[in-house]
Amino acid sequence: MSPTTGPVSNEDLMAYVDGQLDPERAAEIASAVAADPSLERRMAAYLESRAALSGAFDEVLSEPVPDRLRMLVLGDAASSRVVRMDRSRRSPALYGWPQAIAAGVVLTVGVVIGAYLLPASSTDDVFATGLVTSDRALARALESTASGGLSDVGEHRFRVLQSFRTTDNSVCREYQAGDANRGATGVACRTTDGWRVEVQVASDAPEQVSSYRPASGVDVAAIDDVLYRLGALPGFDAAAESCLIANGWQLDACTME
Amino acid sequence: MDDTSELRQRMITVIPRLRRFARGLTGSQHDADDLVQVALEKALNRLHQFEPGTRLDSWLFRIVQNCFLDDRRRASRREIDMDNETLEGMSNSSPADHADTEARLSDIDNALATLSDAHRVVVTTVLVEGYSYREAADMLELPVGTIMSRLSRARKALKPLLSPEKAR
Repeated sequence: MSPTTGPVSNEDLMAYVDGQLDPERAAEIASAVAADPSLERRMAAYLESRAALSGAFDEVLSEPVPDRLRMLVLGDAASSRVVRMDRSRRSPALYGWPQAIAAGVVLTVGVVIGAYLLPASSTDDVFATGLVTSDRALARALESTASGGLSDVGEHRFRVLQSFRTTDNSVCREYQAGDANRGATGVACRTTDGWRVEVQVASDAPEQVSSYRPASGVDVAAIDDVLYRLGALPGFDAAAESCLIANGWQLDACTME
Repeated sequence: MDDTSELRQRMITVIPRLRRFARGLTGSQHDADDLVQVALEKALNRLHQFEPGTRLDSWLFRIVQNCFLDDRRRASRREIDMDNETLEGMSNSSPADHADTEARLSDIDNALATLSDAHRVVVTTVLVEGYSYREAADMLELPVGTIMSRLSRARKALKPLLSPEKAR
């Protein structure tokens, strides 16, 4: 064992107290301390702070995780979206929406959005969020409908706006659905358990789906936020999308950039 | 998206330690939980940036400490108010605390509050959270030498404030 090189520094003593030295060096310091009582005095601050602080707030560890934190992490995109929508709701003018909107319409949108972000009760409801089981019409539509074309899903009109992949190699599709009474824009991603609707946001004008008018400012903000969180990459062109539909959405079956 | 749900489950398991870490940094559990919430929101917005195979706890602790330091920088006047708040908060501690625990936390919170934010972060990371110098250096994105010198200086400063009888 080599002799201690030079005087023992405070940081040597601190590292010794904290168990941060390799066994050889620790043994050297131990010998030095045994030989020189002044070293023990210099170690005192480290020993005392270590004793006082390790375990100081351990009570927190045995507390259950607060609901608001648990829900934040585990809640699906739709429920956390409700919070964001409330904070970010703006008048349409701020998004440069050209048409003048009566205050009454905006209020209706607000009420409708709240309702749409709750899980649907009917299993056939095209406006549901979360996992879409393969027996549902929405699942079949997401699986095989090309972007752009209007089709029917149950009682509703349906159109896929774009398909894209994300930075973690998931495939997602942005779509609109609606009927005479209500409409929504949604984003669904394909998982091993099936398509999963990450978010649905109510459209301000239900006939949007049929006429494919651009989404309102409120829709765009909500969807953009979800796309960012998903790590969305630019959408597939028509050829790439056709290939993917034909190959069950397997990315490596089709040449990607 | 399956990956995301597994990652979120793992995040839940780290939350108790994040809460304890934030408790050491802020001096009150309420402020601590606010800090953890902001940090978790940031983390959830950047889930796709987390590199699988790397340490999730380090990643989350780093986000918490950055949120803490950013927030403190934005409110630099708050340092003065913070000491008053800490002292006030101690006398109005939650009824659930035992009297002796309250007293002990009081001394420790007051003592930690006398440190600069940067020193308190290092002390909390190593002594409260139990990370090694190397882990702390990686988590806080500082050289090990800086970790050690800050830690040493902070502990020397704490000595007159921490009574030896407070050892567990």
